[in-house]
Amino acid sequence: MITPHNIFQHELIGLTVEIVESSHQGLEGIKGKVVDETRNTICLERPDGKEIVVAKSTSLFHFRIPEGLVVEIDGKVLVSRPEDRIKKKFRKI
Amino acid sequence: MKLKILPPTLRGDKRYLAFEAISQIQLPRDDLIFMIWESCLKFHGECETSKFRLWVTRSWDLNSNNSKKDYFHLKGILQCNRGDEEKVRGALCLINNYKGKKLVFHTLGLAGTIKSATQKFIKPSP
Amino acid sequence: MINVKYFDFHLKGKKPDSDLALINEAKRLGYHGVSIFYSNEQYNLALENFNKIINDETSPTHLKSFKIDDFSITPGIIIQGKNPHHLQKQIRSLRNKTNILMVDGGDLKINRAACENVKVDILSRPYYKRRDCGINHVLSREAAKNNVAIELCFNDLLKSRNSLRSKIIAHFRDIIKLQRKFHFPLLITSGARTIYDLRTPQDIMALYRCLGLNKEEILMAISVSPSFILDYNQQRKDMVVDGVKIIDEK
Repeated sequence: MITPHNIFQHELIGLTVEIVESSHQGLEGIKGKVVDETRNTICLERPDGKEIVVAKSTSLFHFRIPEGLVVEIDGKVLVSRPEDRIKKKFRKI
Repeated sequence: MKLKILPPTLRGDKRYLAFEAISQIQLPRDDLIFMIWESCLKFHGECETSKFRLWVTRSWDLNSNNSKKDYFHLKGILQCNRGDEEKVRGALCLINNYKGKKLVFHTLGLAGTIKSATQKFIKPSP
Repeated sequence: MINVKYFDFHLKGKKPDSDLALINEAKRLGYHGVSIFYSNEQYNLALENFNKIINDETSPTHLKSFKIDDFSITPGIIIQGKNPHHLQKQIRSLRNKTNILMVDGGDLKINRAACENVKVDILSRPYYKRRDCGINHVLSREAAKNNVAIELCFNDLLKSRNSLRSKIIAHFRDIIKLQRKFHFPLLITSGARTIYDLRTPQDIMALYRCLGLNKEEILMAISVSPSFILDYNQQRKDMVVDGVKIIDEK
């Protein structure tokens, strides 16, 4: 099950996401559904059907998980291939 | 445990002042350091002196071969920050007495390394 | 001009009465917030006292920071570690108890353990009783990675003189030099025990200008870094790992 405690290791495809901050101002505020993911980018499908590709490392995302919780994730944490992210170590606070 | 020394790029530039001291009393190393610091502090103040990075790297006691003389002779090398050599020189030449006895500091010269300072000014090769 | 908020992040707490006088004086001098530090034993007592004096009716009893008007008071704990192991044990047990955790530096092993720990907020006076500044490029890099702020304490300058003061200034310069390269957070604090150790923010800024910091760096050290530490610690309980935060949305 996807929870805030494992979302950064989890498959992201299918989640709804909002870009809160980005170094590219035009991307801020965009909402959509994750349809594809590479090492450095996330591909979003916007409600109007357009697909856009967003760089992870320069953005701040709000992911909405199926239970309704919203999790804020700094894109830098997500930089790695999805299959490698399971093995990656994350710094606990 | 000792701290790892800084890489040369972060260490900052240094210059070496060769000096000689002639005094009426024996000058141990501690007194020498104290005197130089004291003079710099009085002349330039605390804030300026903190930039100097003063360090007496070596001192040579030259009394043994001329013990009949009535003064003590000493040579040494003083490390300081590059760019502040003149200020340190100025402070050094203002030292004139210590513990009621007279003494004098002469700067022999300025060098970029300890080795060249020693060869040029302390033990000149014939 | 943007309204700058000044913080004094190191007051030393002793007794409730004198602490309150100290805080009021800081408020009068133009600070927007202070952080007052106690040892682990005194902390609970101090917290109760603050509860009694300040938030007597409105707020819940176990708040970790207090407010008088816009002035924020954040009690914190200062840890004196005997050795790295002891320090880590203390950090683990005290992290959830308080908002701000400070480690009293000076010993090399303690300095290193503090710089390497994400849970530590501030490393206080790494140069204390030392002949060098107490940190090098290795520790600076660790501190920058783990967001551990290094503190330059004004009280050390005040209570020393002549060659000792000059050497402390030289240590400050070394730390500033490292900061410019490695960008760890720097903090300028007063370290005051009594009201006679406090100075206005403008005076402190002028003093540190003389020690080689420029205006932006001082503002970072006296205003931006402290407020960042405060904000970050407010969010700490919602953080899962570094960079991942749970947001309550109804």
